[in-house]
Amino acid sequence: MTDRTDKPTSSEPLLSVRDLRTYFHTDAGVVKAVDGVSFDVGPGEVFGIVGESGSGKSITAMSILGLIPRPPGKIESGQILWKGQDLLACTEGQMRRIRGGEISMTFQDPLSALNPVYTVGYQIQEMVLVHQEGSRRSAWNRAVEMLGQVGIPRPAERALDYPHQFSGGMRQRAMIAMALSCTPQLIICDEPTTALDVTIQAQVLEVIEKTAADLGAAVILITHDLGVVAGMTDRVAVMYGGQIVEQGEVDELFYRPRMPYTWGLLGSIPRLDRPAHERLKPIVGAPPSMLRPPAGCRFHPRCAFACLEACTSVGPELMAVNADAGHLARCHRIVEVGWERVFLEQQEERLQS
Amino acid sequence: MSAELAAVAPLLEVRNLTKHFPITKGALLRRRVGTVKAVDGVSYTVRPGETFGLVGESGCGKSTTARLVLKLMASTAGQVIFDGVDITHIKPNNKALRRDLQIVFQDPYASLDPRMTVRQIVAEPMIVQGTAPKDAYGQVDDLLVRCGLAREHAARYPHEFSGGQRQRVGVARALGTRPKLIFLDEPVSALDVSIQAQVMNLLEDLQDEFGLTYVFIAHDLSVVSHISDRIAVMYLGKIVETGSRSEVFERPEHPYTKALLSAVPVPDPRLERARKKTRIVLRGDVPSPADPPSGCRFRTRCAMATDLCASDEPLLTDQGGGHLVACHYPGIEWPAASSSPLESTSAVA
Repeated sequence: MTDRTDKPTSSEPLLSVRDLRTYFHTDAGVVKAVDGVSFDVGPGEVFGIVGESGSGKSITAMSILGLIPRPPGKIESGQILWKGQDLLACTEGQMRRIRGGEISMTFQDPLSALNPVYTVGYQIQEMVLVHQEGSRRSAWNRAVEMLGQVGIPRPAERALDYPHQFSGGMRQRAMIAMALSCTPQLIICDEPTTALDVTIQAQVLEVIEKTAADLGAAVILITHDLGVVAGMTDRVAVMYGGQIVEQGEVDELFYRPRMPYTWGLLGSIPRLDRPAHERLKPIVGAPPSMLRPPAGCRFHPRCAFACLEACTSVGPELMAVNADAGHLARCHRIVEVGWERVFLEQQEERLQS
Repeated sequence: MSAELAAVAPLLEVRNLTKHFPITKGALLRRRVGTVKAVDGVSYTVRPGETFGLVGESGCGKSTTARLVLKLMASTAGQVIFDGVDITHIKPNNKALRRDLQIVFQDPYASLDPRMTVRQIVAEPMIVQGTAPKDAYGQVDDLLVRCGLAREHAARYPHEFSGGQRQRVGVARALGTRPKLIFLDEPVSALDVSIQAQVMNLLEDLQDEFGLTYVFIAHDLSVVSHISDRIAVMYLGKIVETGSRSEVFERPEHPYTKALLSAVPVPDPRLERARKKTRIVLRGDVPSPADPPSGCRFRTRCAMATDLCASDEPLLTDQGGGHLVACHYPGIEWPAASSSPLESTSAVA
């Protein structure tokens, strides 16, 4: 829809997450669900976070909004700077104003995120009343207006419906309407289309893109679907084992991936634009248990290139590989051997097999 | 090629398969107040050694179709011929049927008994088929290894495995009776992205090794496109388009297939941004199968629908080379920039 290539990238960040660590203290031990995550989101930018289940992407989002249940969860350290103000130092009262008013969030499962005993219109109205001055009537009108904006037909009538009377795609859109009703500057969409069919997914993604652009709101899009990320985002972070392992502008990341996990992910997914029966190149093994993550690089047990001493003993830092495109990768070999060499090795291996 | 293939007798032939669920009201008398037409006259053939993909959105009846063929559910009407034998009225507990036709389920957490070891789970179908338990247990190790697990996994319980490993156990169980045809009902959709490829490759390897025929059911078009030789696209209980994978996915003729394919996001930023510009975004939701539209079932979401579409139901007709399309106007193009759901509503209001 909108061309995002000419957007200024050097503006002051809206949100700046600095070395965030969110741990869960369970009977079985400490789960380091988010372990040193840093990223910035600029005004109006669409930032994607991709990763498999358990990689820490949803916990990162919930940490930003202060939605981590405590106990067992605890934000151990780090900073979450929202327009310069540290959200981790905010009182609950301050947080309540920001949450929904300035930063809002939509959840994967709208049926459990919406209250079943209130009408959809009432729930949006309530949100508007909390955050904005005005009468109940004007808040109701705002709710109807928002439902119309996200493409709910006959919004004035449907606002009187309960969530169970909506289809899955409509519920997701109603949640987006609610999230956008107080004109936030940032909206976090956690797996907005995972439970939806592909034609409904296209509707919902279009709604997110269009309404966020109309409001000038920035979007953090959390998903496991690389196709969705490719089309929607300006910049992407790939998460694995509670850490960001690669980050950069979307084209840079897809066309010049440097971290073996990102390579692996891109090579392992079946694609519509590829011939049938083309052999997939899966990543061996399974994602790590966050109770006992592997020593050294968290990806090393599954990595085809993990042959350095350091891979198994020292956790690599996120290092710049292409500063112009903000491209960072977390891999020893990229830095010590150089990515060209690793890439050539992979090509050779491919030819031999 | 098609003439050559057509000469081969089909392994499975499904004719006009129908399943209507009654909607009842009242606890005691259970008056019948309506019918959900979950599967409504579905016909297809599966040739030996091929992978037949059945694709469609949730609620289109693709899983029900599999359950009807497998007799896990009684059909309302229709005929099923497997390997030259009419199995429509065969008893569900027929042993030969259970030996030759197997299924791998979507949810690897719900489809394995948590109180049985993997050895018991994998051996059970063989023992039911009359293999001596000792022999059956002996074969488990080999099956597990072929499915990418280790021998020592046989003594463990399902909860000790990850989702991908459980799905491998489900595949090993299905293979034990040396079936001719396996229904794969969303076998990878519950798995993480990096694990999906492992299971897909395994399924393809086993197909070559055992000469298996697959009916692959999935909602993910990329997955179906990757693995299938022939494909049928379902919408609201009916097949709307079927043919070879290249015919259906590269030269789709039904407006629904076109919309479905255009909606799939491709993990390539430049290509995906270009695709978005011409993306066909369907309006509204799938209508209820309890009250499907008259005529063509897709007409309520089709921008090109005419009066004919509302009055007459289009039948699956051959467009050449076994490419069947159920549309009055096969090959019709969607108008440019059709239908943003946002603009369409303002037009309605």
